[in-house]
Amino acid sequence: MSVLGQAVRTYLAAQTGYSTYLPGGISPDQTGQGNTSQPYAVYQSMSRQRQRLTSGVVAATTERVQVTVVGETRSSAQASANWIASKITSTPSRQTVGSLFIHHWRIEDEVSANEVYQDGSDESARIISVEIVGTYTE
Amino acid sequence: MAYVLPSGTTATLTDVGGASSITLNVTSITGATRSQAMAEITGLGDSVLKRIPARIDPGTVSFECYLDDTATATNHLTVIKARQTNKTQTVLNLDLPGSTIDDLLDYTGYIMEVTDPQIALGDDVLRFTVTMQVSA
Repeated sequence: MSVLGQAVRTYLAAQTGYSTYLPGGISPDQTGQGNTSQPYAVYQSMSRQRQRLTSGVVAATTERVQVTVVGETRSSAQASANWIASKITSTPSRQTVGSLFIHHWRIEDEVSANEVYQDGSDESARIISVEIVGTYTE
Repeated sequence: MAYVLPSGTTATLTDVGGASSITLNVTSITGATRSQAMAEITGLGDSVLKRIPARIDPGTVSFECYLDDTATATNHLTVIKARQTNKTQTVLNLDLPGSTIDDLLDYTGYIMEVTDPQIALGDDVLRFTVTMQVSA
């Protein structure tokens, strides 16, 4: 379970344009059952690193989350990924999202997979993965 | 039995008079090196250098804390700098949980150096280092 990913979802769901760019929603690990709307996004935790005091108290946690956007066309998937990136970078600094205090978050790698099977055929989905790195205190 | 540092260790900094005490946000503590000076007593007619133990230097202890976002006036960095300015004799107490050696690593001395945090863009918490001259 990704703590940062959950915060990203809470944050994005409250942003203007959410229903336009992610009509299929954003879900943990896999899309919601019965979802037929695209683009949609799923997120999963890639790594989580805690910084501790000698007391064992966690002072801050850095987590890397991969958000995968799936769209019917390359342009729609790219537009949704760009929208996610613009929303994250628009408020990069200290903020409270849900119960999480975020010190900062940022967009790092972005990877496209438009031709999954590499056979030249038209495919039903275009995929763009965006990595979000954030440091937070729970 | 070996002692493995468990969670729950606290480090406090207290005036020798006990007037005020703070619990430090310690990330690490580097223990003092206690050294014994040697006095040379070699005579002119000796062919081999002769030395005997002289005074003991209790050394310095340093600890690293994270910079907490509390008000400037009450921030630990401010409090520790004030102790340095006022030359306050201070006790660093380590409470090692579940142990019978709680008094083993207590240090009494004076704040010698306070290093402001290094400011660099990254994911790490900001830390500052304090060095204490052990005086007893």
